[in-house]
Amino acid sequence: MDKVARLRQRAKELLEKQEVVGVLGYRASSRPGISQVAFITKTEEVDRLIFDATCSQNLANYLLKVKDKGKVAVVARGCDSRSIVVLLQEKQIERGQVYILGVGCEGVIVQGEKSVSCRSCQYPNPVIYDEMLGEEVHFEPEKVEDEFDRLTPDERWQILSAEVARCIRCYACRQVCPNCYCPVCFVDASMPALVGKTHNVSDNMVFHIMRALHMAGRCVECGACHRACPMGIDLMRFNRQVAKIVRERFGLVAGAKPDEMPALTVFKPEDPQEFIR
Amino acid sequence: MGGNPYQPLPVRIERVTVENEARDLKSFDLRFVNQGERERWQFLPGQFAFLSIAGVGEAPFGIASAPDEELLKFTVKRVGAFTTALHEMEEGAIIGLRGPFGSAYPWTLMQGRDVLIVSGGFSFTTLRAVIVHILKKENRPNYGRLVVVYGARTPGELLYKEELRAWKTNPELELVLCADRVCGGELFGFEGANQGEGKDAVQEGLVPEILKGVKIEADKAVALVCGPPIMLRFTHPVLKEMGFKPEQVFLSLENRMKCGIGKCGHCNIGPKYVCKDGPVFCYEELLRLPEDY
Amino acid sequence: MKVFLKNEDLKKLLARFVQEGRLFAPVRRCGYSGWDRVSSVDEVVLSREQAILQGEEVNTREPAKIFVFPRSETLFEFEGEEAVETGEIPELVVFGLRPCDGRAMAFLERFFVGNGPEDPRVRQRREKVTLIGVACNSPADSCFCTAVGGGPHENKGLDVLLREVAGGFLGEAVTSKGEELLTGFPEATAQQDAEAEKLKANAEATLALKIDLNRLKAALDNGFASPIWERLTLECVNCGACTFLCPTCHCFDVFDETVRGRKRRSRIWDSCQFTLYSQHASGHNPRLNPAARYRNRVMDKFKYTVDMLGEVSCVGCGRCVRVCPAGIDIRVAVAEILKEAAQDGR
Repeated sequence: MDKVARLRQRAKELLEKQEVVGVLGYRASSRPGISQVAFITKTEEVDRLIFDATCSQNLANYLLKVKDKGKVAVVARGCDSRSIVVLLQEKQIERGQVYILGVGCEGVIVQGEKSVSCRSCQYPNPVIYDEMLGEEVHFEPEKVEDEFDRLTPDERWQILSAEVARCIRCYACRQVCPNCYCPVCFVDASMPALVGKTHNVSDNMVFHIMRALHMAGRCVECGACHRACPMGIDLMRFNRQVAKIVRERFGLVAGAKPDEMPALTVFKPEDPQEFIR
Repeated sequence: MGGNPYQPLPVRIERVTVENEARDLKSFDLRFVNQGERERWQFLPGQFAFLSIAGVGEAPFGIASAPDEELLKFTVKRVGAFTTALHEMEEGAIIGLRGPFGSAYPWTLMQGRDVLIVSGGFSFTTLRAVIVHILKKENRPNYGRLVVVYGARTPGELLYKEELRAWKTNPELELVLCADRVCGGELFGFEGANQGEGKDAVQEGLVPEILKGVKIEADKAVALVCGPPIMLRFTHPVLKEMGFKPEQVFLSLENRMKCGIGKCGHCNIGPKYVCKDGPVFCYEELLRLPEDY
Repeated sequence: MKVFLKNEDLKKLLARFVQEGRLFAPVRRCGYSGWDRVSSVDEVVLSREQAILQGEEVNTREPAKIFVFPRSETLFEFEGEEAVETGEIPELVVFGLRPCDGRAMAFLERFFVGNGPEDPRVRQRREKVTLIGVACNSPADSCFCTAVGGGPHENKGLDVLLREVAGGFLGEAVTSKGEELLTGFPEATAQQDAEAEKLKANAEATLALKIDLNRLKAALDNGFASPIWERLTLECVNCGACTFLCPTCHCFDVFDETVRGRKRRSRIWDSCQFTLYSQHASGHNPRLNPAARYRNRVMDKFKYTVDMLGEVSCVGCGRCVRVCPAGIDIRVAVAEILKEAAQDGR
């Protein structure tokens, strides 16, 4: 039985037995190559569920939206499952609230292309699940040759400025990210105001850098933010860099090990601290 | 109001009055800095204006003074960044004023009729303007009975206490004051008014409840209602019982506003903008609009 | 009168504006095209059909509204508490906007200028910009301008409409500004005219969607409490992508800032899809529920602007359909609303 057939069968069973109130997954949209999120609550609708390379949203984000409805089943790839781990670690959801239908992923394809995040993905399979739909996926992740580290700060600033110059502050990146669940985002603070609201490069930089820093140790590099951006900004440039620094300095990858706390929530004596003299 | 509708005019704060015992409601009496601007600044009670502080921001407030008063009065509750900055301003400081905007109370319809005012909390501001305007010697004969029901959470939260005291004994209007909670004999900041002593009383009870005790011939009257959403909800059935038809009831609504001229979109209720088509709405019209407020 | 501009003639015409530093044209970015000030006329792909083949989309990602209603703008500066006008509004020429954007410009002009107190900056910007639109010969699958009263070769709101034919463009002046621009070009032949008409018919034939706008208005008049809104918005994440890229969305936030010691009042785009958009100072928020916010957007496009100004403000450009991170399609929403109304016998 293929993954999708298995998914539909299990969704039907879980709903029939009332083990869950709904199944969070994906469905086709009105347009080819684009999927939408689906929250299936009726057994007769399970055939709307799909799973393929068009499924671009991180479902952990939607988990926060539906968690109050009761126990929910959720389809989770490697990145989604790591996001779920982060949410569990941060006590935004409880393990008993979710039934994780794990599934291996070969990457999201948008307009015929697979992003760098997907091509270099080290976690195509879920790190946490209640059951697996189908076999695990194995592929050789691409090695990302990154020039960025060899650039001077000024050169990096040029590259980043060019990217954020076209940011229209629609906050699609923030809204699709499972980690951005603050009731009042720092950009909306008014007493005091923390970030300028206009679209000049300076204000945009503050927003994107701050958001990336808020993601340190939490971002699973799913790429949902990059896919959501209507202006095609290379947002993963920010997040990838921060994730790299966390990996190198703390040896931790966000959400990879359910028992490990996120890098910036814990202090260990052996943490590198050469900046303290 | 010509020129650029986004640009405020400079006004000087002549007087600051703390209105309530919580000290988060202050009235500001303003005078135009530039000669001749007061004469050009024509408005009717019900309208509102934006107060502005350079570098801080602006916010909309109902005009609490009557058209013939020399100074413009605004009563402001401290809730956020702008109102905090405004509350920290002292007499003599210059701020900005932008307006007048919006619809006024239905002055033409009110001619020759009894006027029933029902108000709660600090929404009473524009209704002070109405009362002062009607009580003006030249204006008073144009209206019938003026009956005012005004309540707050506690007597200490009532606005314009000096004037309320004077109005209590003014035969030209009938003033009924109430508070959710009236604590025994002594009342903060409102000496001389105590529970259950005839005309001078601040009665204990919610505004809609106290309203039930008012005797007025609805078909000769117009009701002006202004208060928090919950008060409005409970007042409508009472007015209906009293015989008021939706066409005779007028509400002043509030909403989040930025431009005040019907461009920025924030204050829409369906296809209407509270800043432009309101803030005064006939209840009959409101019933036809989506419940998006 | 319809004139004909050979490709080289159009290039020469645009080169003049490039030299003056005031031409904006679509420029290819990664997977779409955006507006950029052109520094060399060779940068401009005159043939929009060619541009589409080279990887641009049918219309620019950002709508042409940025030329009258930019993303952020200083309204004025302060000297003490006095407002001081600031920022000369430059004269610009925009080449390559589509009829849908033109129609949207006409709507924005009506809304900001011809409707109650006028917005002086929008008026000035419109006066100082020349809009040279290019008709669509190959609409995209996300386009539906004809369904909302527009068309791929319509000229409403533009100063000039260019229609691509063999060897160049048919040019129609729509305003006196446009007439001035097109002086001196030869009259188009009957053959060229026929060619343009054929291309128009072909384009229209690909735009299959039809919407009964009157029925839709009636459905929305009664549709405020419909369960449809909840159903349609589970996936909505409440970002501002649809509203910011919509050519007719006009909401803005006004706020003060101090830049290099100078105080000023500015405005930026705001979106009714943001939670804080409708929050009162008292803390009350009439549109706390995301479904209420999505409802407001659809209602505004197809009902509220009809009530206010007598016209539907969706121009069928398809941008919201293409950029929505949740894949929400306003055409689907409209179809659902009509279906529900039909089922209820409305």
